[in-house]
This record gives sequence, C-alpha cells and structure tokens, in this order.
Amino acid sequence: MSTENDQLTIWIKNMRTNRDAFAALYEEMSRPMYTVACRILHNRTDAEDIVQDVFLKMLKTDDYTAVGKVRAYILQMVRNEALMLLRRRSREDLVEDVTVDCDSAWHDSETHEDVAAIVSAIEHLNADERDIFTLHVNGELGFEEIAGIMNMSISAVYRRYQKALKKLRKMMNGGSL
Amino acid sequence: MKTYRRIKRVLVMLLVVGFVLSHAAIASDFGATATPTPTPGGSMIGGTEPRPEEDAEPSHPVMVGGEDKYVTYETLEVMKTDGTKGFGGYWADPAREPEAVFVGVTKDADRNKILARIPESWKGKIRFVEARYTYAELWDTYQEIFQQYMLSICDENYRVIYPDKQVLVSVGMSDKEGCVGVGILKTLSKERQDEVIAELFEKYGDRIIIVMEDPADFSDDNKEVIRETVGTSIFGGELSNQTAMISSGTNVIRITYADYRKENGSGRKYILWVALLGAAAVLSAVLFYALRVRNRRVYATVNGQTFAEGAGAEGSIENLARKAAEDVSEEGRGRIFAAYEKECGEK
Repeated sequence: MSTENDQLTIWIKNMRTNRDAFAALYEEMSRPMYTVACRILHNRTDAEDIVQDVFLKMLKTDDYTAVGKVRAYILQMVRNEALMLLRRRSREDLVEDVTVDCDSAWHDSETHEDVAAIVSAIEHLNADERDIFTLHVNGELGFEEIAGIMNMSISAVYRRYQKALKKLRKMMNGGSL
Repeated sequence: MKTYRRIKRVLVMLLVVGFVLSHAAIASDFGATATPTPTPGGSMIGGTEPRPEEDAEPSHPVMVGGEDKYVTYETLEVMKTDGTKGFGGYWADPAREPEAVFVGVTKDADRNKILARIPESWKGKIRFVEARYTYAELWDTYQEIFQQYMLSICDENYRVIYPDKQVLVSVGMSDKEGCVGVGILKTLSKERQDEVIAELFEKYGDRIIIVMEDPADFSDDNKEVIRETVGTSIFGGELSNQTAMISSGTNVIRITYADYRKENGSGRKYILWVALLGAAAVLSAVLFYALRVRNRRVYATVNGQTFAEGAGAEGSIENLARKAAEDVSEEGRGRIFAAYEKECGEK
C-alpha cells in the first residue's frame, strides 16, 4: 500500500528528469512550505524566495536515500532557510507589514475576519509555539517529526502546542495574552 | 471501527499488566507474620544423615565428632591462604568417608587446584557449591555470632551460668550452603525467636542460614548438651562439638534470608515497587498511545477541504489556521517553474 511518504519520495527522486513529478511535488508541498516560511518571515516575497531556494536545493541533491520522511525533510529545509534569512535581516523591518503582506488566500467574506484574526493571533505566539503550531497544522507534521526538526522532546512539543492553542483560543475570544 | 480497535488494544494492554501485577502480588505473599514460615523437612545443612563436625577452622585441623569418634577435618590449604579462592574442606580420615564432600567455591576459584589437594579416592564425591562469600568473610561472621551469642551466656571459663539467656544452640560453617549456619533454640518463646531471627538477619543477611533446633534432635544427653555447647573456647583450643554442628535430622525448620525478607515486609516493599512501576508503565503506555493517536494524521473531509481527524468542527482554531494557509502567488509560481526549467534544462 502506497503511503503519502512513498509518493513524495517518488516525486522528489524523479523531479529532475520528470516535469510532472516536479509539478506534483510543487502542488503538494508549496502551500505548507510557503505558509511555514511566511509565518517565520512575515513577508510574502521573502517566503516565495525561500520556497524557490528550497526547490532548487532539492533539484541539486542527488541522494535521497537517507531522507526518511520527505514532508518533514522539506519543511525542515524551509524553516532553516527562513531562520537563516531572518538572522541576516532585521526582524523589526519585516514585522511591519505582517497582515498586509502575508494575508491569507481565504476569500470567503463571512470567515475572512476570523481568518485574519487567527493570522494576527498566530503572530503573537512566541517563535517556538508559532513554528510548532504551523508545522503541525499547516505542515501536517506529527509531533514526533516536529520534535526532530526543532530538537525537542515530543512531550515538550506537545506541551507547547497545547499552550499555543490555549493562547490562540483566548485571543480569538477577545482576550489578550 | 478504528476507535474500537484502539480501545481493544488499550484493554488488552491493561489486562496483560494486571495479570503480571496480580501474579507478582500472589508471589510476594501479603500475609506477613513476624515468624518466618518454617520449611518442614527442608534440606539439611549438615547432609543426609548426621555428620561429624564440619567446622573448618582456618589455621588448624580440628578434632570433632565426640571423644569416641574423632575425625580430622581439614580446611584446604589453598582456601586458607587465599580467601577469594573458595572455602570448604575434606575429611582426612579415609575411614570416615562421607557420602559427599561439599566444597564452597567463589566464581573465580580455581577448581582444578582445589581438586588436586583432595585425596584421589574421594574425587568422585566432591560437589562444588557456588559460594557468595569467601571463607574468610564467613569465618568473621561465624566468630562474631559465636562471641556475641554463645560467649555472652558463659562465665570466664566458658561454662554456662545464665542458661535463661541462651538463644543459640549452635553456630558453624556450612559447606553445603556456602554460609554460616545458626541454630536457634527451638524452645524459646515465639517473641524471642522473632527477635533473634530479625537481629541476625538484619545484621548478617544472606551470610547466614537459621535452623530452629532442639538439642534433643542431635544429642543423647539433651539439656546437658546445651551447656556443653559453649563449654569450650574457640580461641586456641579445640572447638566444642556443638558449636560446629549446625543441624541434622529430617524435620529441620530452615529459614533463609530470602524467607525472612519475604515474611517481614520486604515482600510488601517489593510489591509496592512492582505496583508503582506497573502503574507508571501503564500510564506511560496510555500516554504514549494517546500521543501516537494524536500524532497520527488521519484525514477527514469537511466541506470539500481535507483536515486531520479530530481537528475539531468547522471554525475551530486549527481549521481556521488551515484556512489561513498561504499560497504562493502566480508570479512566484512562475518564477519557481522558470528556475526549474533553467536548472534542469541546463543539464
């Protein structure tokens, strides 16, 4: 039985010679990659650059035998690249246009306010909580995988995730942190 | 269905742990009493039949067995000179061949070297006993017990003057058991027996083995033997026959340190630990399982969008966050595909 990881592995191994494989991988991964980058960088253009850089790096990689979980591998690369970029730049400059530049793709007017609110609320989480929340919810990674990426124990990841949820719930209900 | 399977797995896990714990509880015997359970007809320290003295005084051969039947019992030289090599001895009088000669040996003992010192005709009868302690260690224990319990009821000539204080009948080295055998006077009150047993085991642990003895079991002149028990100095002279005779007979009540621990709370401590560890294991298993379930990505489709199962109803924090996911712009997508064409086209 083919799993999601098997499928991703096939695509990532063949994407250099097979444009369809690249396109399929892009369709599957670009959204979580971009969201993770955007949550860290708060800048649409920079986030797109990171996604592009990561795809180019993947194209230049020859051996994927030791990758393990492809989704986790890709999102870890995105996070690392985004953090490196963040270190190179002043965070304050980037945060200014959070809600404007990294707005959601959700356009249903009825829920638009809620979506905007959650984006804003996520920005108020601390870096670890934000990354864990985004990697789990948008990146669809399990806590074990996130623990590996963030070099934490699974229980620490789980605790932070629960804390993040609690904070978000509070903020969404009109409370402040 | 998946929920049922999960519940079933957890129940099976709990049943297995419960089974293990209940068996541990039964094994530990909750019904502790102060007096250790006797072992009727238990194994005899001294052999299958009353044997002459087994005491192995480390520096001189000793004369044992009563005035009319002296037999020389020698501690092997190799054992005397190096306490780590083993302990035990052999009967030097070929006329008094025992059925078996028990030689206590520690793990590092050179058994061949020991065998080389034993008369050729007896070699088939040698039985090595795995010893936890060296001869020297046991000898110290033996001496301590003798001085404290036997000499305390004697006057300076080592004659009995306070028979009411007597608690022990005998103390001796047990080759067969690899420990010091202590014979407690069977006729003592139960409270006093418990007190002495506890005192000895708490101090010497598994270096000793206790036997409930009645002098009448191995003596012709009954009470008189009790007096003779401590009638001879162990310092420089001959040992009393009774100080060395540990026990004999077929109805010996024999108490090991393990029996004592089991009957006096150590078993309960043990089961408490087992229960605590078991509970911790169950809790860990449940937490681990819960985390795994939480960790597992199972998809459900709500209003055309795919969410992880258990993420909550529409409008939950997670679902909102999913809706807030960003998409690469068309321009960005074009740039990425152009980069792909360039990279792969060049190759």
